Amino acid sequence: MRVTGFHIDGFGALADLGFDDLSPGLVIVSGPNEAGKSTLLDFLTTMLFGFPTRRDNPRFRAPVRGGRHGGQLTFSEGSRRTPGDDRQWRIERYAGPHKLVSIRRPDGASASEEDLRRALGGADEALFRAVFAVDLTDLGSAEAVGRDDVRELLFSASIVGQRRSAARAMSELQRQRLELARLRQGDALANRLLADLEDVRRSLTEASREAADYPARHAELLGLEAEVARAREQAELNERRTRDLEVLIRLWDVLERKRTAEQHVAGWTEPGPLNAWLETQATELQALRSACSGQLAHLSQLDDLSNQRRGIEQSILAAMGSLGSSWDRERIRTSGGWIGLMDDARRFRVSLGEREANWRTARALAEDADGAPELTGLLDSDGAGATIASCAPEVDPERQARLVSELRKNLAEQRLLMAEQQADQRRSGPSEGPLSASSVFSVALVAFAIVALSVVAALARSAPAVRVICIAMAVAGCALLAVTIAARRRLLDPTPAEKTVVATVSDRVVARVAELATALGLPNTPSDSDLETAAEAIDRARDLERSHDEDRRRTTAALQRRKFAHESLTMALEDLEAERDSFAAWKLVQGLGPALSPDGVLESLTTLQEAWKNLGALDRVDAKIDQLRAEVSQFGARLARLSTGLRERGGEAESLETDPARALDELCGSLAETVEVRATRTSLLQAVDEASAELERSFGLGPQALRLRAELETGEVLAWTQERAELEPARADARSRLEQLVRAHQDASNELRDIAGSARMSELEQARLGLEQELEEVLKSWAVLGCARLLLERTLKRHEQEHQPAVLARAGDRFAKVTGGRYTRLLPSLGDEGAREAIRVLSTVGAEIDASSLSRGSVEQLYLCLRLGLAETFAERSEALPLILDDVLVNFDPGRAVSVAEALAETAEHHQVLFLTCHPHLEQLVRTVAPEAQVVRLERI
Amino acid sequence: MDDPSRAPDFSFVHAADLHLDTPFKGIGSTAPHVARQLREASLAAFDSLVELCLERRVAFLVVAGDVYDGPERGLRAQLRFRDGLARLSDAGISSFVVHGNHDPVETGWSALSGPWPELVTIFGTGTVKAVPVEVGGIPAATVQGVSFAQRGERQNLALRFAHRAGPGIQVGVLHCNVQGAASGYDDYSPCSLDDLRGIGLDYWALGHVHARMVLSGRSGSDEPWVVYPGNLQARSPKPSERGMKGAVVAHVHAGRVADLEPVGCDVVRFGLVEVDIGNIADLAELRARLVAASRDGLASSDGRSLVLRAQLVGQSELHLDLRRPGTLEDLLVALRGDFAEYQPFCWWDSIDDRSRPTVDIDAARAGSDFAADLIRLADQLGPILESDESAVEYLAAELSEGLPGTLRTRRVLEQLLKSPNLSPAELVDRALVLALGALEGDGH
Repeated sequence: MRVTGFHIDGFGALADLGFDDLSPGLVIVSGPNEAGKSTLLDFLTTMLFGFPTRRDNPRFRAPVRGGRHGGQLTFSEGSRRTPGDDRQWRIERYAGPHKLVSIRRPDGASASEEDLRRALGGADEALFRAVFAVDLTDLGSAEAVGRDDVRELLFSASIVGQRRSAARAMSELQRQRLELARLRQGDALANRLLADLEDVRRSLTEASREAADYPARHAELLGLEAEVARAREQAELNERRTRDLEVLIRLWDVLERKRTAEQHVAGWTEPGPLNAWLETQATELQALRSACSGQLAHLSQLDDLSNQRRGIEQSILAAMGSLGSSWDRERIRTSGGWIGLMDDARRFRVSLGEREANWRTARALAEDADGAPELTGLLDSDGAGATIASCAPEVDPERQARLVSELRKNLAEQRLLMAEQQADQRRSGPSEGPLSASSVFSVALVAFAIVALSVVAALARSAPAVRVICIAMAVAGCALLAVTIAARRRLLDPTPAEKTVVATVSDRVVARVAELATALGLPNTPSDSDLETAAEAIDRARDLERSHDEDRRRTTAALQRRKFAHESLTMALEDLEAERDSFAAWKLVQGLGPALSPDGVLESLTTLQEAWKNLGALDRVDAKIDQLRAEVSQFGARLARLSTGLRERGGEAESLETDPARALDELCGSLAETVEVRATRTSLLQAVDEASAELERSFGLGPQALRLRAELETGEVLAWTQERAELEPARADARSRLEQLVRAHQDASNELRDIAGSARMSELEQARLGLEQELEEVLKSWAVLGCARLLLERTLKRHEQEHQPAVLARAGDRFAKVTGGRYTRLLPSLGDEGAREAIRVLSTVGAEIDASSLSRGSVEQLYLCLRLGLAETFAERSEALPLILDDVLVNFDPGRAVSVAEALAETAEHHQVLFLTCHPHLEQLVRTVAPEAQVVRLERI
Repeated sequence: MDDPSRAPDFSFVHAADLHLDTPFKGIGSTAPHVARQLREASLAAFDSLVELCLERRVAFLVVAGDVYDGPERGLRAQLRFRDGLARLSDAGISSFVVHGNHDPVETGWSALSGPWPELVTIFGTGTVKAVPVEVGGIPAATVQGVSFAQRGERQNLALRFAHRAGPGIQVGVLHCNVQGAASGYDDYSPCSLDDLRGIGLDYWALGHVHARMVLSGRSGSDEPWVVYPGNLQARSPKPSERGMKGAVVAHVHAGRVADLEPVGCDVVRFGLVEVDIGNIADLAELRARLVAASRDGLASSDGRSLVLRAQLVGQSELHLDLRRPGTLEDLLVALRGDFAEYQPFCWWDSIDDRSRPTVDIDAARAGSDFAADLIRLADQLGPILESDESAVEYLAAELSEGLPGTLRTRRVLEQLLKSPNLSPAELVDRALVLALGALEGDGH
C-alpha cells in the first residue's frame, strides 16, 4: 500500500496544500521548522484512521488558517508502482458540524471503515502510530510497540481466513467474567448469589434449630396440657363449691318459704255449711246482686208504661168518634192506604180551588164587558145584540181642499200676470218693477261672492264634507248667477210676442179662478180672506169625520171583548162542574161523606192517621209491658229460690223479701270472705309445691344432692355466706391461671402446628439448592470463560514467541549495519514479562547490554531498526504499509545517519517511506544515499 | 408354601427412595407457583403411593430405604410419613420400612415420640428381622428387612438375610448397591446379584438406585425377583431421574410373584430436549421448536407437570446469536412466559448451549495461523487435564483468580472440575469453542 496523493483543505497550520503522484519509494518531504511536517504526519494518519474522538486531542488539529477541517487522501494497493496502479482508493474526511467520511474503492464503490482496515492489512491507528508513523518523541521508546494489541497485530494478525483480534476476544471474555464474579464485594452475579446463599444458609440453620426443638416443644406442650387439666380441675372445684354455696343460700329462703306455707296450710279450717252453700251459689248470688238494681228499674218502667197506655187508648177512642161509626179498630189498623188518600184529597182541593177561581174570574170579566161605556145604549134589553149608527158628512172635505188649492194657484198666476203687464207698462215709462236692475246686480253680486268663496273654500285644506258643501254652494251660486243673468236679460229685453202670450194666459187664469170660486161658493174673485174662510171650513169638516171614525172603532172592540168574556165564563163553569163531579165520585168510592169538602176530607184523614199510629204505639207498649212483667217475674222466682235455700240452711231469708238489695250485699260480703280464705290456702299450697320443685331441681339426684340437702337442713346461712366470700379470690385466681395456661397451651399448640406444617425448611432447602445450582452454573461459565481466555492468551504468547525471533533477527542485522558491527544481535528479554522494554543487544565482544544502557542515538537507532523489522514482518503477514518518519536522523552522528539513510532506502524498496525533515543536510544526505528519492517541499507557514 | 394352590393371591407395593420433603437438585430458582409445587411434589407422590395401596387393596407396602433425604429428616416429612402409614394401618394394610444411607437409624433425628401405627414395622439395624403377613387369615408372606445404622454402611447386609421356613413368599427389604447394576451411586451395603439370588428369597425389594431396574426375575420363571423400583419422585434433571417415577406393584399368584406392574406416583417429571441448531435459521425458530417440544412433553406426561432442560447442539450461525450475552437468558424467560399459565406446569429449567460455531475445526487445525495454534493448544491441554490431577488443580487455581475469596478458599472450582458436572475435557472443549467464537465474532 502506498500513498499516491493528498490534499489538505484545512488541518492545523496547513491549508489548501496538496501533492499528487507521490513516489512509491522514498519521498523526502522537506521544509523548514514550522512548515507543518508534524501536522502532515497527523493529517496522513487521520485520513487513514479517522479523527480523534475528542476535540482536545492534540492530533485533532483544528484548522487555524482557514479551510474546511479535513482533506483527501488517495492510495494504491501494493507498495510498488505497477501498470494500472492508477486504481486508487480515495478517502475523504472532514470534521466539524458537516462531518463527512467518504471511502471509495478503486472501482469507485463505497467502502466501510472495516473495508479500509482490511485494505490496511488489519492495522489500526495504534499499530500505525507505534510502528509506521514515528517522530522523535516515539523513537526513543518501544513502549507503544509493546502494547498487547500492537503486538498481537504484529505477530498474530491472521486467523481463520480473516484478521480478528485475539486481544479483543480476550478482553471481551474478561469482561464477561467480571460480570460473573468479582474478587471482592461487588454486584457481579456470583457475588450476589454468594450473599443470597449465605442468607439462606443462615435462615436454614435457624429453621433447622427450630425444627430440632420440635420434640422438646412437643414435650412442653404435653406438660402444658397436664397443667391445664390440673388448673381446670381446681377451677372447677372452686366453681362447684361456689355454686353449691349459692344454691344453699338461695334455697334456704325457698325452704323457709315452704316451711311457713306448710304451717299455714296446716292451720286451715273449712268454712261452715251456709258459706259452703254460698260458695256453690256464688255465681247466682253475684248475678242476682247485679240484677237487683235493674229489677227496681223494671218496676218503675211498668208504671210509666201503664200510664202511657191509658193516654193512647183515649186518643184512639176520640179519633174513632171523629171518624164515625163506620170506623172500628180493625178498619183503622188495616187502613194503611191513608197516605195515598191524603195525597188525592190534597190534589182535589187544589184543582177545585183553581177551577172555582177561574170561574169567578171569567164571571167578573163578563160582567165588566157587559158594562163597557162604549156599549151603553147599544145593547138590547137582554144585552145580546148591538148596532153601530152611521154619520157620514154632507160635503167631501178632501175635494173642497183640492179646489181651494187650485184656486190659490190660479189666483197667484193671475196676480203674476197682472204684475208683468204692469211692468211692461212701466218699462214703456220709467217704472220700478219687482225685479229692478239693481236687485238683479245685487243678486248677481251675491251669487258671484258665493261662488268665489265656495271655490276658495274648496281649494283650501278642509274636510271632504266641507268641500262637498262648498261645491254645492258654488253650483247654487252659479245657478243663481245664471237665473240672474236670464232675469236681467228678460228685464232688459221684453218682446211683443211675449206680451201677447201673457195677455192670453191672463184671461184663461181669470176664468178658471171664477170657476173655482163658484164651486166653492165664493165670489168669482175671491180674496185671500175668502180663501182662508173656505180653508177653515174644510178643516172643521175633516175633524168631524175623524171623530166619527174613532167612535166606531171603540164600539166594535167592546163588542168583541164582551163576546169573548161570555165564552170564557161558560167554559170555566163547565170545567168546575166536571171537577166537582169527579171529587164526588172519588169520595163515594172512598166511603167518605158526600158533603165533605176537600178540607174536610183531609181533616178526617188526619184523624185516621193519628188513630192508626196510636194503635201501633199501643201494641208496642203492651209488648214492653209484657216483657218487663216476665223479667220481674223471673227475678222474683230466682230470689224465691235463694230465699228457700237460705231458709233450708238456717239463714236469714226474710230480708231478701223485704230488702233484697241490702240482703244480697250482705250475702256477697260473706261469700267474698270465704273465697279469699280459700285463695290464700291455694296460694300457700302452690308456694309449697314450687319450693319443693325448686329444691328438687336445684339439688338434683345422687349423693351430692343428698349431701346438699343435708347441708341445707343445717341452715348455716351465715357460714355459707362467709365461705363464699372467702372462696371468691381463690376462684378468681384459679380462673385466671386456667386462662393463662389455656392461652399458653394454645400458643404452644399453634407454634407446634406451624412448625409441623411449615414448608419453610423445604423452601429454604430448595432455595439453597437453587442458589447452589445457579452458582455452579456461574462457576462453570466462569471456568469456561477463563479457560477460553487462557487458551487465547497462551496461544498469543506462543505465537509471539514463535515470530518474535525473526523480527529480532531482522532488526539485529539492520542494527549491526547501522552501528557498523558494534552490536551484532538483538536478544529478547530473559523473562516473560518486560520483554517489550528489556531488549538486549549483543556487542561484538559478546557482551549483552540492556537497551536502556545505550546512548540516546543508539537507542533511537535500535528502535528504528526494530520498527523497520516489525514493519517488514507485518508486511510479510499482512500488508506493506508506508512509513512516515519525522526527522528521525536528527540525533545521529553523520556516519550512522548515512547508515540509517541507507537502511531507509533499502526499506523503501518494499515500503513507501515518507521522510520528513527540516534539515537541509539531512535532505541532502538522503538524496545522496537515494538519488531516486522524490523530494516534496513544504513552505514555511 | 407346601401347597401353592392354597396360597392366597394378593399384591404388594414396593417403593423406595422417597426422599420426602426434600428439595430438587440441579435446578435453579423457579417461579413461585412452580417452587410451591416442587416443594410439595415428594409429599404428594407419597400421598399417591398411599392412595395406590388403598385403591388396590394390597396386602402390604414395603419401603426400601431413604424415606428421608438426610439425618435431619424434615419434620413435615416425618409427620406426613407417619400419617400415611397410619391410614394404611387403619385400612388393614401392613407397612415394612427400612432406612438407607440418607436416613440411617442411629444418626437420624425423630420428631415422632409416640409409637408407630399398629401394622407398621420399622426394621432395625444389625440383625435381620422377619415378620409374617397374613392375607384373609392365611399366611401369605414373610417380610424380612434390616436398616442402615450409619450412612456409610459398607457391609454386605444382604448376607444377613436367610430363607425362613414358613408359608408364603419370602420378601427381603434392603437398601443396597448391587454392584454393576448402575453407575454413579455410592457403594453402600454393596452386594452382588449372585449374593441376592443365592439366599433363596422370592423377591428382593431394593432401594438406592433411582432408576427403575429389574435385575432378576421374569414372569413364569423360578428365579428370584431382584428389583429397584426407582425413586418415587424425580429429584433432579439427571438422566436417571427422567421419565416416569413411582412404585412397583407385585402381583402374587399361586404362591409366587407372577408379574410386576410399574405405577407412576410422581407429580413432576424431568425431561431433556435436545435440539440440533444446524437446521435452525434464527432464534424465533429455535423458540418454536422448544415450545413444540414442551407441548409434546406435556401431552405425554399423563397429567404431570414438567421440568425441562434444553440442550442445544450442532453448528450454525445461530451459535453467534446464542453466544451473545443475555441471549440464552432472554430465550429462557420467553419460554417460561410461554407456559406461565399452564397447569400442570411446564418449567424450562435451563438451556445448555453446546452448539458450535461454523468454524471447521479440523480444517483450521491443519492451518498455520493463530486459530490453528489455538486448537492445537486445546488438543494438548485436554489429555493433560484428563490424566494429571495436579494439572487440574493447577488450572483450577489459575481459573480461580478473580473469584471471591470464599470460593477460592473452598477450592470450589477444583471440586467442580473433579466432578462429573464439568469434566476437564468438557471444560477445554467448551472453552475452545468459546475462544474460536470470540475470535470469529470480533469481525462482526
